[in-house]
Amino acid sequence: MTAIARGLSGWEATTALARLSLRRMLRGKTLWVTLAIGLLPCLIAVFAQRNQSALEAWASTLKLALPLIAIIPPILVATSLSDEIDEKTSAYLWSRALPRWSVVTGKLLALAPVAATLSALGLLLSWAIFGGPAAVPAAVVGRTLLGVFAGGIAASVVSAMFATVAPRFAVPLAIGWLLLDSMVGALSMNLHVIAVSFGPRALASGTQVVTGVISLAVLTAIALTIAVRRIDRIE
Amino acid sequence: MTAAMVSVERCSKWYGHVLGVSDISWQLTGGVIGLLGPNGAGKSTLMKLMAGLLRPSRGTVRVMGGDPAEDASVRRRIGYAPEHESTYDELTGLELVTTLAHLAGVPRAQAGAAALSALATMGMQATMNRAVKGYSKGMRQRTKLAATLAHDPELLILDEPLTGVDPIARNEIIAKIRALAAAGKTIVVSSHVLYEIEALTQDIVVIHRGQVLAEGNIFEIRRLIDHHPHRIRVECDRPRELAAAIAGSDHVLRVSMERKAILVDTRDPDRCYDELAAAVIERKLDLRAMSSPDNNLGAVFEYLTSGQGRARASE
Amino acid sequence: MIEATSETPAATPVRIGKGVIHDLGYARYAGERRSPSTLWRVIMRHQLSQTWKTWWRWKLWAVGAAMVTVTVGLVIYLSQNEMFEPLRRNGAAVKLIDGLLPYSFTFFRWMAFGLTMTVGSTNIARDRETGAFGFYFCRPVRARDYVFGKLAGMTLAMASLLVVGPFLLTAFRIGLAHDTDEMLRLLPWLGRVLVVGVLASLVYAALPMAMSAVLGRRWLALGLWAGYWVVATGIFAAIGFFTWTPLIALDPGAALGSLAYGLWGLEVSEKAAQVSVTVALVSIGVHVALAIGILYWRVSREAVGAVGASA
Repeated sequence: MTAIARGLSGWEATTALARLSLRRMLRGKTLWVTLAIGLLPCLIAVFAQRNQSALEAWASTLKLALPLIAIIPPILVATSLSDEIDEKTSAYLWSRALPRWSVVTGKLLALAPVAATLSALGLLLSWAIFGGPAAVPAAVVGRTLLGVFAGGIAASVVSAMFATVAPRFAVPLAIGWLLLDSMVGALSMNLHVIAVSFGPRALASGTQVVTGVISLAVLTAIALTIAVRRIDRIE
Repeated sequence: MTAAMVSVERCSKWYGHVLGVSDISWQLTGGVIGLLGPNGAGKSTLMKLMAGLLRPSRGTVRVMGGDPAEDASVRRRIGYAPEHESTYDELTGLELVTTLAHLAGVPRAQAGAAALSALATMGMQATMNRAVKGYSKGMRQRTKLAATLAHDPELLILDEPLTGVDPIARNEIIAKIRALAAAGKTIVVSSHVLYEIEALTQDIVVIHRGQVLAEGNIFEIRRLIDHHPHRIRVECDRPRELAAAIAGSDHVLRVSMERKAILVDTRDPDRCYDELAAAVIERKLDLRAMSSPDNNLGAVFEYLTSGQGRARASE
Repeated sequence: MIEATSETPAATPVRIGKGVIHDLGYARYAGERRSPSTLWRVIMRHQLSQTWKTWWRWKLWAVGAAMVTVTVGLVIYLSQNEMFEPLRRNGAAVKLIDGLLPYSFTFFRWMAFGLTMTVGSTNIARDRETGAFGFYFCRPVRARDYVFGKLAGMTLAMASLLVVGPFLLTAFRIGLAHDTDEMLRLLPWLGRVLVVGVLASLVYAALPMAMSAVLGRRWLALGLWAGYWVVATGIFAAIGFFTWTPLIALDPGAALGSLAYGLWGLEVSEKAAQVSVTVALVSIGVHVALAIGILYWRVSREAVGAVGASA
């Protein structure tokens, strides 16, 4: 019996591509490499309390863990997207009855939460090592984890944008940009609002929270728009 | 009048300064069409334009009345098999074809069955549960073709589908392509191996330097290439007598001798065949074989794409 | 074209005369061939020429290093008598003209990190991905020739960023000496800057290449290298800060910094962020040796597979 092809809606294509991306990620080495990198903050957590209070140790751990937002999302998201174009498997996707933007949304749907979780996982485990709520208040940790998670999502979308703008060099460009971004985000001047890393810092410190959230939302929206528009033009 | 399946109108495509195809106008109504050309001629570019992977820099490409690059409903009815081998190596053959079938529009619930059917058609049932990264070249090609068929498209665009396939599998795939054509599908296939195209079809399009040099039936195109004399080989018991009988005709350019045969180069093959037959009958020669060594695709291809070979405008 | 004599009557056997095959011009190379032990030089030159292509692989960072050299040189010239607070000698602040030179390695190392991101951390993985191992090892190239050639090429490229600029700045500093005595006193600085520069070049060449060899995919290798250099080394240094100071040398960057400051007899203002010259040298030596060992092991394994396996 012949199955009739009827064309996929944007959501169906997005979820189909998300499933494909997840399956490929789970069967490859990328997840293990990023997990190993994501767990690095646990190392410092073991030793950080020797000369510091729990809160100071948490702050030290956070300072060393924030750059993970610049490393893990590009490895997961930018690699996945740019590999489609580099290895020409995009030929299968472009010749199918799906809207091209669903390739971006599908990959982000699958990989951005993973990237964000891995970016925050080390901090969560560090909190457990410090002693949990008794050592560092849950509200502080919750805010920080939410900030890092949101920062990871934003960094994933930025990585996707680089993958559509410069597919052959997406990973180094995304990492380089996000590392620069982390320096800008640490500035005390207002310029820091244009940095993805400002949002997580604002949420973690509890100051300028609304500005941080808006900054993250706007940067994510801009990057997503560019990615979705650019992928339509890639040949 | 049958509506064209594919209509390419004054289409050009360039990549920066590199010209892919140049001002091509061409129509395809149905059947199997062989796309021929040297490396870099523009075959893959033309196929990608038809499949919707590329947008023309100038002109239009219409497939089944729609723009394949913009209209997903058109792409739903196209099956494209790219030239390169890369696929999602982490998946098994069945997972790959199922996923691609679903992405081509087959409902999720039916994609598995469609994939199974397509893999069975390509003889991949035994290995479909192995990861693609462990496949040989031939198995990859078959899996690629299965993915192209799974959503039952009306137009198949196959870019070098027989590359790396062993001789037995090649014959099987050629038979399957012919069966698909007989079932009503329109197939565009490219290859560098000319006898593969000859085994599939007599209708060809020759592309050279981004332009369509010739299109139509192989033999008709050959007939039109009158810059190159036609060569006829006749094997008989007394070749010298035959040579003497034909050498005086004004359309004969050259006669050369082999041990038991003569080779005649002529500008007018129809007259030459008539005169040869008359000479054989008159002299009661024992005719063993008569053939035209250059009335084939290889010769046509060479004549058209070499510096000297150009056909007159098709009639 | 093979020529044959004319045929004979059917009663006697056909004799074929002498045949001639005409030379179409191809001749197998019969000249001198270089010894396999020198093939590493070919690989080294190839590495350098590939790295030199395009504006962004090497040239971008070379321009950056040149800008650092000029900027630091200008600052040294214009502010030579200003005090430089981040560094001290025997507890007392040093002049900028004396302190900025070892400190400037920090900026040159940023350029070297850039080169690792564009070339250093992806070159071996790229060779594996593209099947270049098959090309290398079907020829009389041994694993050690390949490793040595690649390492030599990358080290030279790194040296253009980490040795040339600091050497010029040192020469400039010596040129600013007030008298011959000061000039003679400063001459050993040339040796120090060479030691730090060469060791830094080795670190920035070997470590990313080792990661590139371990992971066969270049972007994954780049990500691992970036994760290691940006995050892991900072964590190792922090562990040393919190526990036992010599452990700071687990961060090769901190070890290089400590080596530079130690050779100049300087201390950073935050004393615990520095290790002794001996510990720094041991750390650098262990890191480089480990990286070369891993590189050689992986290349040896992959070389056999690349030649023996079918396509």
